[in-house]
Amino acid sequence: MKKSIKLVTCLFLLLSLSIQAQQNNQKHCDAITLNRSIQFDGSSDTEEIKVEVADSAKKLYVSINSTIKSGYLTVEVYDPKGNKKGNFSIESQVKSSNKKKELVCGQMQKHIDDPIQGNWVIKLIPNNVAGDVSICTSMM
Amino acid sequence: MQKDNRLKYFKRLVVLQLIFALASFNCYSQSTSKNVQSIKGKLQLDSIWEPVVYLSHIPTFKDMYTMSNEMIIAETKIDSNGYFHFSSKALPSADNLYRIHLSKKEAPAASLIIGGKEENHIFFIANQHSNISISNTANDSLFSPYSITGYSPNKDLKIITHLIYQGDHDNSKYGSIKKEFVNKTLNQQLRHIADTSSHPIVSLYALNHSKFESTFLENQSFYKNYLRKWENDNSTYFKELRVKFPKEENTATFWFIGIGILFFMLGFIINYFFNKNRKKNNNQLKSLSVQERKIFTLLKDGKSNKEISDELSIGLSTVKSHASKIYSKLGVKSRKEILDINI
Repeated sequence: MKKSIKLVTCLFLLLSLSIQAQQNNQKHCDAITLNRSIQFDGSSDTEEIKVEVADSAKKLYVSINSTIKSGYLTVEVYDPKGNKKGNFSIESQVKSSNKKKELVCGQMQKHIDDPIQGNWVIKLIPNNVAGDVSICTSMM
Repeated sequence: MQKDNRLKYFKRLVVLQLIFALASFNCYSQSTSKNVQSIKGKLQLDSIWEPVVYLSHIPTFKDMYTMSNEMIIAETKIDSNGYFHFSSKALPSADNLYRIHLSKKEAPAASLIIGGKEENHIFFIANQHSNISISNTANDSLFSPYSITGYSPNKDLKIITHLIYQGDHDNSKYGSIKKEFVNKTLNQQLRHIADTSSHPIVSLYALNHSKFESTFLENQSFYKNYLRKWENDNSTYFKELRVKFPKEENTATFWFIGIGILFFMLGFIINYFFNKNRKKNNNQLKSLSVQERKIFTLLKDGKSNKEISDELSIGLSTVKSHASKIYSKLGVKSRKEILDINI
């Protein structure tokens, strides 16, 4: 009798774990992820990256990673209504060469629940920037 | 002999005690001076962080989320027990906004991480007399939570930061109408803190997060009173704010220009009518004969008929006859009206 109770309990636990794993897997599959990588080579041209958020999206995750060797870079995030949702700037005053290099790094992570439907804009405003920006957006 | 020995022993004891007292005092004064003017703390770090703390000066609120090597004014190593220390003696005597941050291993010193569990910085107010202690709690995040003691404005700064964070966090739970309402309430709360805080940087920090630019027209009197309250503060933080507000002088200038234009137009109208009358008079004068013009000039000088008759060597009756013709040609009834004619 005891053995059968143990067996049933074990089976129940295994079943629960299996269902949970499947649900987690399902969650991952539902996410729409987009990666962008932009390289600046002394550029001063503003770039606008649009992220289209569907009505069904419950969560928006934006991660911006930037490293510059020279210049001044401003990164701004706007919602579809044009409200600024975050910004940062990084500056490196040393003109990079093979002999000298000064790196400056700026990173921003934003988790937005129930994001407004429409085009979210990530604006990159460089001023003689040499460096890289990588943007990762994910919607669930 | 024994007495001498005792005396010597006593003297040595006194000298030793004196040396000990002096050494203790020196140690104490050194330790207190370190305590009085320093930014220090204890941080518990994950292995991902380089054990170095960087101190940056934030000259304006716009620079809060700006990172460059030029902004970093000091760096110090965190010892094996987690302690770090900056002397605040080199800081300006007036309160300023500062940021401490840590960088990840292999990352450049000038690294700024905003948001998420890896947020790597905190802001605080300090001056050269500040004695500030900062510490964190072992958690999955570097500065969440953290504690800051030693200078009361930082407590208020932390409360405001928490309020803003809480507002952002709570917002995600509500629908769009409630979100708007919650935002409005939060902004009102921040404006209230800005209004009541006696510390300029704390007050401005709250105001800067209250989206004041979008509510300027609704709360004009509040902002005017606010600027008046801090008009003697010439810090870079207030200079930055004043630029954002429409200047009162501009309104005054507008009024001056308006009044100027009004007077110019009035002058133009008066001149127009004056010229019109003058032109009319000139045309009428052209209808006079040469003799009549001479008599008209003398009449305008206020001379009598007799005087005109003597001056022009003509008869008195001729003068009277010319005068009556002049009256009719110019459409006047008396000498007085001739005097009023503008040529």
